[in-house]
Amino acid sequence: MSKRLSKMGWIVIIALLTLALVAFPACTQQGEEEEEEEEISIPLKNPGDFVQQSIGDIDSFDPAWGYDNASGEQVDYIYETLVKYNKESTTEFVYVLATEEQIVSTTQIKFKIRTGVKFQNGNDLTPSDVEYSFERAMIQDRGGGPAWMFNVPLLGYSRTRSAGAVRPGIFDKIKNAVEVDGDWVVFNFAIEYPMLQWKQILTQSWASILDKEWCVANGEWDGTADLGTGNATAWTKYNNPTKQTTFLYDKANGTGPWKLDAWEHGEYVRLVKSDNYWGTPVFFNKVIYQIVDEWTSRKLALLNGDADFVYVPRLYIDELAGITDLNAIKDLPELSNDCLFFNLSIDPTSDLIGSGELDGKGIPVDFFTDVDVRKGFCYAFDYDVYLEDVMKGEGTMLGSPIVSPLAGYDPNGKKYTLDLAKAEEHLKAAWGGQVWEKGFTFTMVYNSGNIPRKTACEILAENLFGINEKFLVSILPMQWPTILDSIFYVGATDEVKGPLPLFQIGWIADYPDADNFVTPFMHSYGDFSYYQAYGNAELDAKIETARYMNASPARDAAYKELADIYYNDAPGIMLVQPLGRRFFTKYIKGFYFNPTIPGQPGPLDVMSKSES
Amino acid sequence: MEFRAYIIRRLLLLIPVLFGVTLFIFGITMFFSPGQRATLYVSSPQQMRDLPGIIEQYGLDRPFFVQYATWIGQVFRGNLGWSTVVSMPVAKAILHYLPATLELALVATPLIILIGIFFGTKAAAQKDKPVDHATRVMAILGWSLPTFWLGLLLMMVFYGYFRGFLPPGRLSVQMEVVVNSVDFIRYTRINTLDAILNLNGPVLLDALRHLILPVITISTVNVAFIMRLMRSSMLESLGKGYILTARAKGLDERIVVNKHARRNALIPVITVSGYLFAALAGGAVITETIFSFKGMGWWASQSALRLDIPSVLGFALFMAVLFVLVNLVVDILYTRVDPRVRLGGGVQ
Repeated sequence: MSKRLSKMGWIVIIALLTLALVAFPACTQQGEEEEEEEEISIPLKNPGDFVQQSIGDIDSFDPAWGYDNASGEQVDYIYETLVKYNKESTTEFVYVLATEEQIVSTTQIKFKIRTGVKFQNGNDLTPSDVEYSFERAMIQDRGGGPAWMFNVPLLGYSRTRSAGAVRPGIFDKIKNAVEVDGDWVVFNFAIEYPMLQWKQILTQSWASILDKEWCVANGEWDGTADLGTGNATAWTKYNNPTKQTTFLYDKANGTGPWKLDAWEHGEYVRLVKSDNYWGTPVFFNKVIYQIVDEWTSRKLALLNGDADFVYVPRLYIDELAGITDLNAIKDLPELSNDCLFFNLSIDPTSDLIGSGELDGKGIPVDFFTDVDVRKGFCYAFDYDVYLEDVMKGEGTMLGSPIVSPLAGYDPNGKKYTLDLAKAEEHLKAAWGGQVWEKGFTFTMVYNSGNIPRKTACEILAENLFGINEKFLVSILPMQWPTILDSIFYVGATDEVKGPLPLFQIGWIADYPDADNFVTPFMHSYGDFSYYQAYGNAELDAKIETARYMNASPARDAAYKELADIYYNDAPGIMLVQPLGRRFFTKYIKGFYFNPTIPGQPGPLDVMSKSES
Repeated sequence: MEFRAYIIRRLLLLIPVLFGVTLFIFGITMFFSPGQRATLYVSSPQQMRDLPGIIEQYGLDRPFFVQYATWIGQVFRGNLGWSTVVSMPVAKAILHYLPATLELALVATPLIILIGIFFGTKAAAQKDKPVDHATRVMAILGWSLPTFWLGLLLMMVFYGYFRGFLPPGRLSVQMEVVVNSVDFIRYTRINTLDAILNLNGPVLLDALRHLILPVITISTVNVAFIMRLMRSSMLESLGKGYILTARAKGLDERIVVNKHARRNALIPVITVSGYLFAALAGGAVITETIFSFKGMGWWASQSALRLDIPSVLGFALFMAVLFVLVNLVVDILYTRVDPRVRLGGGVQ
């Protein structure tokens, strides 16, 4: 007996000792963190470089393609535009690759192109490069891409395609839309278009200027219709291409301060200072974007000085509170929103819709065409929990895509709230009662590492299950580029859209106007609404009328009407207009905030890093 | 001569085994639509635009065995399809991500085996003594610690508490630039090995700093397993008659344990170690994710999450081949360790 007790004693003692050894460092750290939270000293590392850690890979380096934060940010560092915003302002501009402008008429504006500028490969910038860059963007006009902002004023259409085919005569319109006139480049609009809005469009990554000679030498569109074949429609092979087929997908050659040095998919992007940069010398030798999905790794990298800026999910902002060596910038008024979009015409080959029938084991491809389904889902979402727990109260819930302070925004406008009784009522009425009786199963996706979006999916899935145990929604993480490929599905037609039944994505203003929130969300050819199969001619006419109205109470009323339509149609579950935050180490200087570029760490060309 | 014949015989046996494996893997693809299966034949982004053409070209609506023959022909040409996760051909993705995982496996496996054998032997030789109890507790702890928890804890301590001492990732920002420079030749993409081959001390040290925590994390669980296996195998050996004879002859106890008993006790450990290496070479998903050590496990898990069929099948095929080859190596090692295993006909 005593021998047995002795054995047990040994086991217990060794177990306790081992546990103590394992647990001690963690406990010590925890304790000290609580007591000395403000005394964490972040060392200065990589003094000449800027290191950012975030969750999403780059979609493409092609300026005409990239329409997401991660891509636009990198493109901005490599390429330059004709004009850019004057620091925080969204209405004042400074010239970059242009030196002068002339508004010739309400349908024509021209810019004088800067001389003495070289591309990173040593080629000189010419007005032809500017003409080529805009024409190429319209020639490419990839589905879900940013080219619509050029198309609308310059061509008079949102897209170069209609009913699944390239519009007749569109090539000539593209060629005539942008012309070289000596040192000047002339933009000829197809419609009267607000010049302020046009210049706002010109500030962003999609308006980057390319090196025509380099592009053509590497197999890009050569500027002609027949591409030297004698076939006048040969150019269409460059229209709406697949992502990786464009040469500029993973290559870059701009006039900006940094050039692309390496892109390891899913791992990192490294930019290095360009020797040919013409502008004011920049501070950072290297700009490094590392993809780190794990929050603890990113946090520790920031606190160790291995990263200068990291993506901080709002759920974890308290973990960085009170650290004096961090520069936490709060309450930035972002012009952005987040939304869950219903796909009204899902690709029948989708793996995410189960059986594809309304039999309890799947959903039909047109499941969300029934407004009662959509409204049932809207009422099933817990907006208060999302705002308080996920967003930490830092934002405003929205009833329509229009955000504050743009025309049509009404803080007291109609908004959905959590109302399970109403959700049940609508879901009972949906599909003639079949939804309630048979139930449904499908999968929602979110971009891997994005905790707020994951939580939004969970809130909706749990509440639907709570309403009826036959309502089964599973949740799947995907990498950011895959989400984009699945939303802006290359195989989408006017009738059939992508494979995601319900997708979640945010929108950041391309230009600070209500039109930039209504068109993408509600127009038949909107960036999101097209891929939802939402919109109709009557609605398009209302949107286009409001677009060209001068700022006035009438314009405000027109957008309020559109906001009401969005609420009544419920094509998506509108979530929040967030307040932005940035977390830098204290060594990073020179940040300023422009609300049209909320996802970026800041204007790196004027930022620096130093002890002082 | 006899040994060479044995190897040739075993290599020939691989053909039917791999035939069965590929048949099984390809059979799984039949659950997918022709359009999805067409992506298996894509080797460039351009081809993604013409899936109907690929369906027709490869006869994806033709009988199963015809399709299998076409697919296996593509596999033999090195075309495993297109990985949408990492935007490159699957074969290239395997070559791209394997070095990171191999580096982890090559460092961790010997460590696991040596520590496991050492403590397993000690525990068995001193059964029911403090060393045995201690190793038992270590094994229980190692076995029961969740990998993600241990990984995060280690990172918080050695990267957080000790201020960047052992960082995640594979290389620091500065060394990443060095290994990608023209002066540094990436022979294998295994950073430690390349650093040695380039005689570059700073890169070697940096790579080792980044390796330590992932290696400790994956070793902890597996050492526990090898340790317990070795202990029980040793106890069985120590109870055998020839050990009694050796002791009766007055042999030194160390020789009895380390030479006579341990050699026989190693057979099950060799079996398990082979599969352990194969499993580690296939990637440690959680460890690679936590430490941003992006290798096969990370790629495979991302592919699975994205329903990237060509990548998942390519990975499955890679794992199948790896396991078959490891099995062969293990069998060869048997013949070296255990003289009872005859090259001609197994245990006699």
